[in-house]
Amino acid sequence: MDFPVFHLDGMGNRWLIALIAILHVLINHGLAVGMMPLVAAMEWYGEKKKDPRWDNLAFQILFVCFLITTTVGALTGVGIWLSVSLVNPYSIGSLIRVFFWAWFTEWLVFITEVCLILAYTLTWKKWSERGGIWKKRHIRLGFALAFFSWVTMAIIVAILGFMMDPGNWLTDHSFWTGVLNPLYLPQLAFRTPLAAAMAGIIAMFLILFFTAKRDAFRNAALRAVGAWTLAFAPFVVVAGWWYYTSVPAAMQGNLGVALATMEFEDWQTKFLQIALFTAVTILVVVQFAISRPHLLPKAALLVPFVAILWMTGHFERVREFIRKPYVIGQYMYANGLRVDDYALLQRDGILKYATYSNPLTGAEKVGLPENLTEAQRSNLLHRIQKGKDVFMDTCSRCHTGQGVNSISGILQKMFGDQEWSTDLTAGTFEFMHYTRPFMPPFPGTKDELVLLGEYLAQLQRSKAVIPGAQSVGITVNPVSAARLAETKRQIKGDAQ
Amino acid sequence: MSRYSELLRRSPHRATIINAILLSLLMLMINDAAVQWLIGVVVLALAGLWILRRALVRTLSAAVAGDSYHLILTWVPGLLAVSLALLGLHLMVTDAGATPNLWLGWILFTVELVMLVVIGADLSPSNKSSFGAGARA
Repeated sequence: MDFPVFHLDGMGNRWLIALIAILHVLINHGLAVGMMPLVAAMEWYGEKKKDPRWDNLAFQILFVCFLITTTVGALTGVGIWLSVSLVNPYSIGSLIRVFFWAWFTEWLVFITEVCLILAYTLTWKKWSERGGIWKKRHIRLGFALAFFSWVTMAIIVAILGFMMDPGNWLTDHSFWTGVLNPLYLPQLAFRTPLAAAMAGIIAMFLILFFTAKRDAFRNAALRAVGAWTLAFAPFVVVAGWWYYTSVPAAMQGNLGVALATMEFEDWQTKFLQIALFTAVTILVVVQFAISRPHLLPKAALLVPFVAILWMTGHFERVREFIRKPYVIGQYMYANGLRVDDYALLQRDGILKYATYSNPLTGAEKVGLPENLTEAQRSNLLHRIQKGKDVFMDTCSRCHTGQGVNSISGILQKMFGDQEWSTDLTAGTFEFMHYTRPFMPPFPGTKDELVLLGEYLAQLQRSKAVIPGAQSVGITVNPVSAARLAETKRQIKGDAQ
Repeated sequence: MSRYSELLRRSPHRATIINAILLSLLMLMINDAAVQWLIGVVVLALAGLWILRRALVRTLSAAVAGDSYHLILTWVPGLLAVSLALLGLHLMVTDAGATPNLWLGWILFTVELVMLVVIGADLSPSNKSSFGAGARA
């Protein structure tokens, strides 16, 4: 609670991360990790067969990848960490402490990857014209680029796996136990063929734009890329099973909600059927592309293209949700509070350790009960202000006031139009983590639960949007300010 | 009529495709999961063995031996078709009654049975292309 609370009340903080991260994964897996080896293989095959059509096609596909990965891909890559730092600085802080050297290495690898894709794209024509040893060097450059693209993913997957299940790191806190967490290898084994298959499907779609309808080469290219896709498909299935069975049982219990939403939790079987149907449809279309490419209508290739993007995007959403109530498994809850700090916070209250306060706006004060004396009104506003701070520090990482996954919407569903009294809300929140295991336990005291209830009662009256610190600013909590000043004095004293 | 005869004469496996579709329709009409499963497995085993033999012959031929790309084209489509046909059959026989699973399973089984015939024909020793459709490419 040492950072001002960034909050988006419309789309919600989670959607900000999800939109950027999913877009990045689609680009990273589909156009970099999977596509670079495919492009290099096409260039190699063209050289081997002395067929310049393969070379032209490979370059055209590479150019699309080059444009997208060096713009949207690079921006969303940085954007993920920026948005995560804004939304949950505590989790990113903890991750940086554990994975500093991994991130540093990844940065070096990423810079190398950028240099390689620049060199690979920009030297293509010149080195191809020179031919001979230069063409061979260029092909090697392509495979080197493919390798470095994969290494960036291999490093980041360690962090993603750690966030789901840190494994033995919880007891020995060493870098390598963090990296080699129980989900690292299964997840890497799954993502690698997934990226290759995804690239194959995207390449098949692009082939339609870069070859003429009656060109016999279109059929040969579709068949070859279809074979590439199918060759990786069994590995996706096998590694997917390994990954699924490695996920802790408690997380698998969240699958119903993770696949859809709380409202459609019972649809788990139906959803899995839809996913199976989608996967089978992809395979059937690819199968046709191999056996009878000339019979395949252009629109048919849209199906696997859209389907693989949807499935990969949804897989990321499930992965993000399934680890609830934690943001870092067993170590930190989704609200950014460490599991080990709960005992202290539940004893002293969270407000005691909240450095900042989130001032009520005029809209949030609308609808206060009438016939209050000035003193009563002032006292009530003071309590509502504290309740708002509790909400911002403990709920707002996942819930909005009026937008996506809003607390108003949830309470409306639970209690309808009756007054959201503190008895109703505080009583519910105290034990909610038992009935909804993806919710963290309430971290504060019982008094703070009541304060939260009073704020929510006011939210029902005001129906106000809750702005974040980025739009209304913050005030420093007087208690914390005194504590911080004391801490600073002590640090200075120790240093002297 | 002569046009259809000509179509069948040019590619004899087209007659097998018609037979495969008719057999699949019969299986749907039987409406008995155990019998459907039995017939389906036997048909798939026969088709699988037919393709296995042709794939082995092609694998050992000088044109394909050692060429990983052609090895993939020789083996992967057939393996995938058998796997998907089994999945279709499983979906067909799991739920009783006219459920979406039955229809989806039947469609998948039929499509994959047809694909097996097509793949078998493509792997025919008389087909000199690297893969059947290559002749059309």
